[in-house]
Amino acid sequence: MTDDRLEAEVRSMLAGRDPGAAPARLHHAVREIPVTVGRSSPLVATWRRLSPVAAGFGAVALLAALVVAVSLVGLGRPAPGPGASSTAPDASRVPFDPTADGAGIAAAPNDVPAALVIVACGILAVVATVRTKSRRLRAAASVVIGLALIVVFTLRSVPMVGWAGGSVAPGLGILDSTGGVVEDAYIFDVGPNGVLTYGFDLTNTGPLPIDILGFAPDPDGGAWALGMGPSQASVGAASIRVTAAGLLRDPSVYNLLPEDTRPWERVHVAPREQQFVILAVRAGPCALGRDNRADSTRSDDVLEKIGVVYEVVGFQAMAVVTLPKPIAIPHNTNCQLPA
Amino acid sequence: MLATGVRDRLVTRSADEFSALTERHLDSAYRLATVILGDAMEAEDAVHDAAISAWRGWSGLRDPDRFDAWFGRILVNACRDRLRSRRRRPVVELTPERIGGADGLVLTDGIESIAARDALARAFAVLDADERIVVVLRFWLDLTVEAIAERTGTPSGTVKSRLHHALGRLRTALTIAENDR
Repeated sequence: MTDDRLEAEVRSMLAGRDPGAAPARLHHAVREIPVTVGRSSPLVATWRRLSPVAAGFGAVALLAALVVAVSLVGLGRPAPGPGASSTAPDASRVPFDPTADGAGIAAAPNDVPAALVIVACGILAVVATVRTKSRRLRAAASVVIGLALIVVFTLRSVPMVGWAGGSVAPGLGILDSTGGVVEDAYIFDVGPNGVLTYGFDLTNTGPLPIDILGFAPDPDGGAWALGMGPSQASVGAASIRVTAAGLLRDPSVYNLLPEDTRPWERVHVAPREQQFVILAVRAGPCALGRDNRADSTRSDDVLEKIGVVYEVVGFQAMAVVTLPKPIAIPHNTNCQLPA
Repeated sequence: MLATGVRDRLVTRSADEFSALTERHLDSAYRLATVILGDAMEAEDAVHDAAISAWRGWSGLRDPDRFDAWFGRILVNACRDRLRSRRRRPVVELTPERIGGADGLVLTDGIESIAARDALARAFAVLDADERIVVVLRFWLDLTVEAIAERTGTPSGTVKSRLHHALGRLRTALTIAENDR
């Protein structure tokens, strides 16, 4: 069949549907419209045209406002620990106390902003589907939703902080850096339930500024409570763990002596910049109080990774960071844990 | 703020102008809606709805010379909404008696075979709303692709694509009907 013939037959079919002039009742009904139907003001007419667009932008603006509000109010921000008081009269001279558990230990990352984004995306999807007939606007809404979800997923899952070179310094309890079960580890001698300190540079490895909120007591164990041991623990829940964190008083003086440190506080780190942090790590009850390397009952508790909780554009996340040098604490394998 | 009397006069003049313009385009709008929808009663409703929408947005029309294109676009949108909101209707078997006059469907001598007419009408009826509108604007109103694009608010490429696809489906239906003869 030729195109000409097809077109001719389509034209013929359409011509056959032509009903002729409009009936009188339609003329009458349309003439009555200015009398019976209110007319929108120019403002309302403009708003009606823009309302689907406005709904999309409104949802995004609402989402942004919620994220900003959440980040300003600090919902889910870690509660300051006993060593993190900044309201003391002479707070500027208070040193970091590694034996005061809790300072710098962050709560689990707050999921509220991410949940709000997902809810806002759902609302936008419903608005775009139900209220908008324009394919273009629906496509725009789909792009906004897709981008928002990708951004949230990326911010939550791609670590933006880690060890990328810098300084490492052992503090309290350092014994040696060779001879441990794990190669090239700092070996500490702190005794049962003793506390060691360990400092190193954390680098913002992402493209956005971040706020470091604190550290997880156990990055791999899944439990967010003091007293839980890391996955490397050989004596279970009573083993080595991060119990506090602090900062240098003078960022250029890499000294872990108490007078050169200060209590933990939320730290802002620009992209590619570093922040020296000090960890307080508490040994388990079976830690050896002496260097008895020849002892056949000796093994090492080793801490190789820590969880760093940070916030980026209002979203909180945790990065598991491998320490530049593992922390090893000799302990007695025949030790009987208290019930 | 305008004095009440002046404002009333402006509104009256505006209403008169609107009535005059819609009156001038009403027949062509009704015919277009009927050809698109295939149902005279539904076309009346579509034209009425379009006229109400036009009156409500009347203040947004800066240039009355553009009324034809502006109102045409509103009408096409009203028809599209009606086509899309239609639920699947039971298929009515087209018999020669039916084709003679029911539902405003009066076929001319352009198609020789009843079966071919039936096939073409059926194929046209199952085109999606946008394809059906494009076919009507192209082959009944004789608009160019660019004019259709402006009337429907879609890119020219999309219009060409819809037209191509619709004609392909119509051609297939017609070819099958001819082969069955």
